[in-house]
Amino acid sequence: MQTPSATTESIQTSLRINGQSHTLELEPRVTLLDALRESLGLTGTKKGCNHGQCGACTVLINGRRINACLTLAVMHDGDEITTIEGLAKGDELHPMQAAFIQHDGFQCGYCTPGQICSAIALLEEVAQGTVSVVTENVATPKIELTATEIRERMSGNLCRCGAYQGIVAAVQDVHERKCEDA
Amino acid sequence: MKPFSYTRIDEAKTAIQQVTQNRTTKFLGGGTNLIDLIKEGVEQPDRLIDINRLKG
Repeated sequence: MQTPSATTESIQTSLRINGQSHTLELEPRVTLLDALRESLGLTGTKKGCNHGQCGACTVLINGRRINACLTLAVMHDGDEITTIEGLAKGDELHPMQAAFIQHDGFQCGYCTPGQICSAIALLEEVAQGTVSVVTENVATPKIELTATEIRERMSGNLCRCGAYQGIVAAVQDVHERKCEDA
Repeated sequence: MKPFSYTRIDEAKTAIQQVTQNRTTKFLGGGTNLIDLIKEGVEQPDRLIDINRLKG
């Protein structure tokens, strides 16, 4: 049996987070979530279950949603990462953040950064015509974003306070406004 | 989590060689299953071969 030639020691990794470049020396076993929270102090991304079941750690990588607890930071050398901290433009909230406040999409707020990142990617997926398991007609290019669709597509993000009504309303609101603008 | 080494490989042939030559080397795709199992100590690889950026 060959001994592995590669080392378990730290690897230099460049991450582009919220438009800023960061170069870190990281052990391969460090998850993206721990790199964000422990190495960079970006604690907006929450650690819930740390097993990919709750979605609290959802971030956007090159625009796609991903559980930061189940991916290694070293896998994302050069990737564009967006966390909850990178959504607002100065004092101006991202439309999804504003809608969560307007529709009471949270109580304690622990799941909210993940919910919001997830919801933003959800709308992008719908815009690109990605179907879900509850899409009635998969042949239509335009997906009707019903409450059932939103609930299915947000099913990877749990909210222990049970603010789901507000979350669905917020996602629907942002979606409708986007459609009006288009 | 038990430490392991990490290598990103862009040639499919090389990646297969690396994994077949050593029983404690594993392919790393998305990671949503494997990384969870490593955290639990169910999988204990010495080395991961990242095949996310294989050349077409």
